[in-house]
Amino acid sequence: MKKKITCITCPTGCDIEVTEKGGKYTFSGALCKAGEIYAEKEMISPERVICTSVKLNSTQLPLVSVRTSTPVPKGEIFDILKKLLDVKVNAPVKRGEIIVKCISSNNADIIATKTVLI
Amino acid sequence: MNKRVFDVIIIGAGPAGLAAALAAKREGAEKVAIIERDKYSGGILQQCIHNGFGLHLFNTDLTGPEYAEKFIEEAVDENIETILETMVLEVNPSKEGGKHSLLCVSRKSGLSTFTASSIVLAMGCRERTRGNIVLPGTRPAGIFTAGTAQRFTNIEGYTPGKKIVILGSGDIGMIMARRLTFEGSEVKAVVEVMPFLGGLNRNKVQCLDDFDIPFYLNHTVSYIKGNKRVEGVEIAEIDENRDIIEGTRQFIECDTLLLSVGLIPENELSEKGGIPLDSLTRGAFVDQNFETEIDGIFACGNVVHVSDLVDYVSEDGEKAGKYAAVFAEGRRKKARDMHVRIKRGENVSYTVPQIISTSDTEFEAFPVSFRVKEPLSNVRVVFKADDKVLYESKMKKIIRPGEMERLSIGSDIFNKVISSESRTLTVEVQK
Repeated sequence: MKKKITCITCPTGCDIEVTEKGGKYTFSGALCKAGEIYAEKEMISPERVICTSVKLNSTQLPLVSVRTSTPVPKGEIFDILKKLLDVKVNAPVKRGEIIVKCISSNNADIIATKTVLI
Repeated sequence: MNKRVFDVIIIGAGPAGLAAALAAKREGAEKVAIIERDKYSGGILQQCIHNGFGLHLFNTDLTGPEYAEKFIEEAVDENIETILETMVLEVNPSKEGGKHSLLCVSRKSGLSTFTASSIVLAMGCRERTRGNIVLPGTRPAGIFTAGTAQRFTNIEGYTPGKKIVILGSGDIGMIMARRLTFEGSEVKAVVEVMPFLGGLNRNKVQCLDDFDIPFYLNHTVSYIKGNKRVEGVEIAEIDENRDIIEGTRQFIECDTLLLSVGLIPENELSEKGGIPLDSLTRGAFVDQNFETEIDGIFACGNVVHVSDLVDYVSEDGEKAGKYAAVFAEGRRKKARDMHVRIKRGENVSYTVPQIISTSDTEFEAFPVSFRVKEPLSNVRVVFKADDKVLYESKMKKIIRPGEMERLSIGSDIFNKVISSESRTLTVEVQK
């Protein structure tokens, strides 16, 4: 079986052709190793980093931007977004601070990507 | 009137301005200030909450605010003064070798005059609007540029609508398609006039394909319908002359139309100040150190040409800041010779820098950035002077207009160009 995958690891966006033979994958078209790792992951269990925002009590901003600490299974994106609907945090928030612990099946946290002091 | 004197002043606290300020300070300039019209530093990065920044420069995948904060914290550590909520009204280049001056206004201090030996222009760019592309139809509420919608969604806390059509496949448009899908809106179509994608391929994959968002090439919005609010748009296929092909019109019900139809360097200040601008980039002509044709006035980042990676903006800002400090410190004794030019050759739409200057400052390898006019496959990048090939790249499988090319010029090519008869370096992309 052959499949074409566009790598999203970096802006080069290599078009990688993946060939599957007896559960083993071979790759062509990737300019670097990261592309092959991405393509294999994409064949077995695709993952994405989710970036969004949550409500914030602050004198400065109504929202603080957040992301998952690691990539999470693609199929869980909308469940995670739903869980974040009711989250509201208070300033101060520091960049990197954990907002929600273990939000995905692979134990990714939701972390703040912005510092809001007051 | 409030008057202050600096060594280097930077206009704009976005990624270009922050990098320039840090480099100027580290190069030895003592009094460095950034003037910013917004309430906070970071520029557009603060609303770009998606990841994908910093891969080239830091080898890590950061979001926009994370990338910005790295630089903002360093600026604080280096005691760089950032003057917020202050608008520059005029850039007045020095007469007879004095300092350059800026006329500024703010709510707090009223009118102020700031003078400096070096000025770095880092005002960034702005989006093209409905007026720029002349879309037919009524004039209801619900038509936004993608970046404005991004600011509403990610900073102000409002989503622009529930059913969205996006015209243009620039990166911001695609990023907003995903962002609004996350916020519960339905993105009904992304429509691109050109026969190819406007932004990066990876953004089509992770923003459109991941969520099965319909994407149309060679299509335009042919009519906007709505009285008070957008009620829908008509889209249609176009031919190579951009004329609508009858029989292809279809109506899409929506309440919001986003436009992601290109960015324009914001150069009203530069133009008013008499700084020569390139009609191809719509930014200032600059040399390899990002100095404009006026001594001591530098320009970097999206105000020079629109980059697709912030990493390159930071790199260019760093260079501009460094040489702004060198000039301010009086370390350049010999006047610049600006006779050597970089010209766009076959298939190339523009180059930055446009000038290779020579003086008594030490030579440093520098990149030439350029874009192709249309997607090309199996091509080589060629540098030429006097019709002689100075450099030929490896065969590239594909080069797209959405992806900026950047190649380094070392002392070898530099020396050959400055001693060439034509004193011109031509950048070509050959089949």
